[in-house]
Amino acid sequence: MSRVRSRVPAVVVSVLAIALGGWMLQQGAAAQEARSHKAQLLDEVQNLIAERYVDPIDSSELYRMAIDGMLYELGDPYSVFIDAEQTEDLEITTTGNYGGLGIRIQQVGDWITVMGILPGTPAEREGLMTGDWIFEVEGSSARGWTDDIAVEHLRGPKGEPVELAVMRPGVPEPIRLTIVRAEIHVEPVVAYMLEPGIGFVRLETFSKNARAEIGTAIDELIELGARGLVLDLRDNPGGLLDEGVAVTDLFLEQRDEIVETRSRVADQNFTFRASSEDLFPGLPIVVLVNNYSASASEIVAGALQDHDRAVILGTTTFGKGSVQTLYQLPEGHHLKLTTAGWYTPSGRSISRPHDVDGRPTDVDVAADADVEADGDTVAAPMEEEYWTEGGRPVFGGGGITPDVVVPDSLTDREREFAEALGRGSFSLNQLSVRFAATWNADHAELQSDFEITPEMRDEFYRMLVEEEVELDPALYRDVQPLVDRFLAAQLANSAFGETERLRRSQAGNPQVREAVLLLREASTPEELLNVAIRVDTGAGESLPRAAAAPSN
Amino acid sequence: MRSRGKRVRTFAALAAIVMVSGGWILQESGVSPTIGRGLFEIVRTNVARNFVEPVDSDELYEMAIRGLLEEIGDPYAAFIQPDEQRSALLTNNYGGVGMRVLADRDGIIVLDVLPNSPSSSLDLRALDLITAVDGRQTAGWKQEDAIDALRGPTGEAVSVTVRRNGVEDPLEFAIVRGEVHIAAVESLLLDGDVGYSRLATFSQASRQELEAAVSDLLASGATSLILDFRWNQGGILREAVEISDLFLNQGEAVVDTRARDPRDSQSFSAPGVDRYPGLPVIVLVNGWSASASEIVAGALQDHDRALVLGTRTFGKGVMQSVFQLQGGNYLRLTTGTWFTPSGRSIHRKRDDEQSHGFGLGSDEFDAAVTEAVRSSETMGMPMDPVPVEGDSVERQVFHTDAGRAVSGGGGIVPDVIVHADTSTLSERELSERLREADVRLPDLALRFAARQALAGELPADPTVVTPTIRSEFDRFVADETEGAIGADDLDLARDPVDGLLAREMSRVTAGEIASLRVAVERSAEVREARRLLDEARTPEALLALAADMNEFIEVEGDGR
Repeated sequence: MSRVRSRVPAVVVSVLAIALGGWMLQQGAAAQEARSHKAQLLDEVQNLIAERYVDPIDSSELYRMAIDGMLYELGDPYSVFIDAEQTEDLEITTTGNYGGLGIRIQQVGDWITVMGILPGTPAEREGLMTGDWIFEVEGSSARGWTDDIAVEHLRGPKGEPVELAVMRPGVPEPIRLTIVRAEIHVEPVVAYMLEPGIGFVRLETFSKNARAEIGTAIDELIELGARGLVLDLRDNPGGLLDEGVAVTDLFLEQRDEIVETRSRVADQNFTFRASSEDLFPGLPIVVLVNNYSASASEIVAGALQDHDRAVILGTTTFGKGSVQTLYQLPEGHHLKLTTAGWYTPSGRSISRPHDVDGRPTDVDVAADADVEADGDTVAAPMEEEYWTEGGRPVFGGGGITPDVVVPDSLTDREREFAEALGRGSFSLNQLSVRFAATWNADHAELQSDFEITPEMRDEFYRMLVEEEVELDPALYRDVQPLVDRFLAAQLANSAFGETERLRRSQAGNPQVREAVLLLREASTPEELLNVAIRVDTGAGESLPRAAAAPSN
Repeated sequence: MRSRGKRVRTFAALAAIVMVSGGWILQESGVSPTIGRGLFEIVRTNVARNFVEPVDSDELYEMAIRGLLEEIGDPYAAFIQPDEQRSALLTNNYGGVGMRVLADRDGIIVLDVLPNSPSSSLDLRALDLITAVDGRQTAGWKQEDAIDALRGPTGEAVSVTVRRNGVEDPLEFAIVRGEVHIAAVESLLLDGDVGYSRLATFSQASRQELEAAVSDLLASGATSLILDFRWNQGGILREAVEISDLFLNQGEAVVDTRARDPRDSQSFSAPGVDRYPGLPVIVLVNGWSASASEIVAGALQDHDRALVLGTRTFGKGVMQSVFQLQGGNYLRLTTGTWFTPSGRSIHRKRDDEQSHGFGLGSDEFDAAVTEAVRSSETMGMPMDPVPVEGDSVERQVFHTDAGRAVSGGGGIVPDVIVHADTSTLSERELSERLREADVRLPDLALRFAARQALAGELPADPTVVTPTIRSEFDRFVADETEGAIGADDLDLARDPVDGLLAREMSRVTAGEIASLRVAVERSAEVREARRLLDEARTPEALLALAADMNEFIEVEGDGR
């Protein structure tokens, strides 16, 4: 077993290992005894269908359907069969010269879901939204596509357009768009000071250098006087698990457990542990999460929660804590199979039960939990209890439940407004981007501390009317804070860049606000926990709650 | 030799690349897309070995069967295993005690005792209150629990404790469960000598039941017949043929089934004579009339034997065969399409979502139909099945024996179109409020009527809703819904609500047929049918009448 240094050889090794495994299985299959009763039953059914079904179906199709059907009945939306034709040609994605749309995607059940829209991208300009399902690309149905296949179809030469149809929750007809690909720059880390003493760092995705960049960003914030930190993992769908572990490592002591994988496959049972000491000892941290925080984000949140190292704030996370392994099959086909599950240090399973179409099956539980204005919450029925290092109860059963639940939901009026835009197939983000571009072109340069003026609001309103958005002036007035925030964010982006955009869009955000309030009162991680517990229950006991607040 | 940490790291690096949407280099040459048993087996063994949860290697074959049936896109396909109670639905028989019951606050109320049942022979009576079953107190039970407790294998006994009005001490009964048969046919004689017969499903022996019912009606003086197939989703093909036979003459085609395999293709024609020559017949249908109902309606329409009245039917023109597999398993599969005597296929293509479960014996369809019936009978607003896009496209024109134009391509179109009473705006408002508050008014009406009857407080004539009863009911509803629905809401639709009350009060004091009569007499379709039958005394006259009515309606081709 030679050492593996660079990634390419590692890939080949892994592929070979997997491929060999595949061949070996085939040998095993060939050598087996007479077919069991159940196997004969399947044969019978297939024969009957071939002979008697009202429509003709050939043998190959029948076996394909048997495979697909069997995987469907397993009930796991992430286990799928990928046939040779779907595989086409896959390439290693390095930082190549491709153009993309600027969306984060995840295959959930039969459909690719848009998990996030990157700022300043064609996707944002054309109005794609988080939560959209990709229905068709260039006229072909995207049903059953894996992430890789989708990526292959969506990426392409810069400047070339791609035609999409997406299904948007609440809109009955598919929305058709043509988006021109562009070079997508992802700034994985953006950081700034929220106020004297409190720093904010946002991580978009766990890409290759995430740990290094976060480390550097926090060092810089500390130089600027940060004595408390908000680590924003909202809408972060994961990425390299390696990096997820490495980022967690920054904040834990050597040998602290980070995450454990459990599998029936012998060599997929691992406990990942921190390899160095806490690089920021004594720094109180609030980690922000929401229901699009997934995978590696959940590893970070789960580990920091279980070690009482950080307070987790926001809404319950996505709950994708399963690991898929890709098996190469003969004839160029592949099987992607869920082979392991993740468990946090306290033993909690991250995976949220999903039905086979990818819909969470515990959504009723979460929906039952109401968060009322005065913070009085109704605990959702929870199963077993787990315990943090310090003896706080935390709950399993799907996703990471925050220590402090703060929904980021819209008010009723804001929801009405969003619906009015949605009927015209617009997103507030998209229109704000357009507004910012024209405003900055036509008006004097903005100062960095600019405010939204009545003139800007009127101009935006005029734009909405021109776009034939059905809107009554009273509704527009009622949602002024929301509109202001979006306009300010995009004006800042267009004039000053990403960091300013983020700062503006987070101003007034209830989750950030709550995090700041907590950090103001704590100078150590222990103090932070106490403050959070007091806030949460008013009774001196921590009772984490589940709440599924819609993400906008 | 490598440290665990390093090994962990390396695995993570490998795993990360493998598991995250990175991609890798694969050199493929000569990729053959053929997928066969070998590949299936590899996948199966892989899943059995490596799936995160343990799964029985053999079980996977069953899962493949079930999954396969989903994938082929046949909404009616099913894999039926030996332990499933399918026979019950084909025969309308089940093992039980033979009582219709309502689980309520104080216990299980007996609504009806079926004739010739284990309960009838022990003299159990309507409005008896079952306070205990096999020693367990029944107060506050849910309806499903009550049914479960009373049903069971034939021959097994169940003991019930009963409180009866006017009897001091509780009564004990040991009921030996038997095969209970639910009648498929309900009949009554309407004013004007109009016979009315409702067929719920084309179960085994339904033809005998219908024949007996019609004979009774004729013997009681009926001079015309309304055959009600509304909400009848079908059943056994042979029963449909035999029921059509009752009204057709020897040799007249009933239905033609065509399949890829000649074993599944067959033509059926009437073996006997018209049992009721000269009897004017109207067949009632609606959007939930399907399959066997459409076979009969189609045959009688094509031979000009009956007038079809109501709204366009469901459009299930395919037929299934049931195959016996090894191990006592069965496979139900769509094998062919059927055609009416004039050559029409009335099939309306629906995708899986729209027709999933719309097959014989499926729970989902039963539940949907029950719901439709309920909402219709409350508000006169039937829930139509999901409309299908684009089915107005191909409507070929065919002709009946007498040359009338009829169309294919999506349900049977009635000769006379009559919608169930359309609701007023305020009635829809109440419907909406009930839906939002998740309140089922028919259930409340039944419960109210049962309790009133137990307390001896129902009027002598249960079809009349007195002001006292009305306000008592309003109060009852307000109580049960904790104020969500009150008198103001019910005022929005007083007439339908009164009708509902009358129906339930009749059911509880005078039995199922009495409640049927209330429902039937309020029905717009029945009203129209009676009007036509009043004027037309022969089958020919009936059709002529309909033709005159439709003169103003455009029909494709050379319609009259």
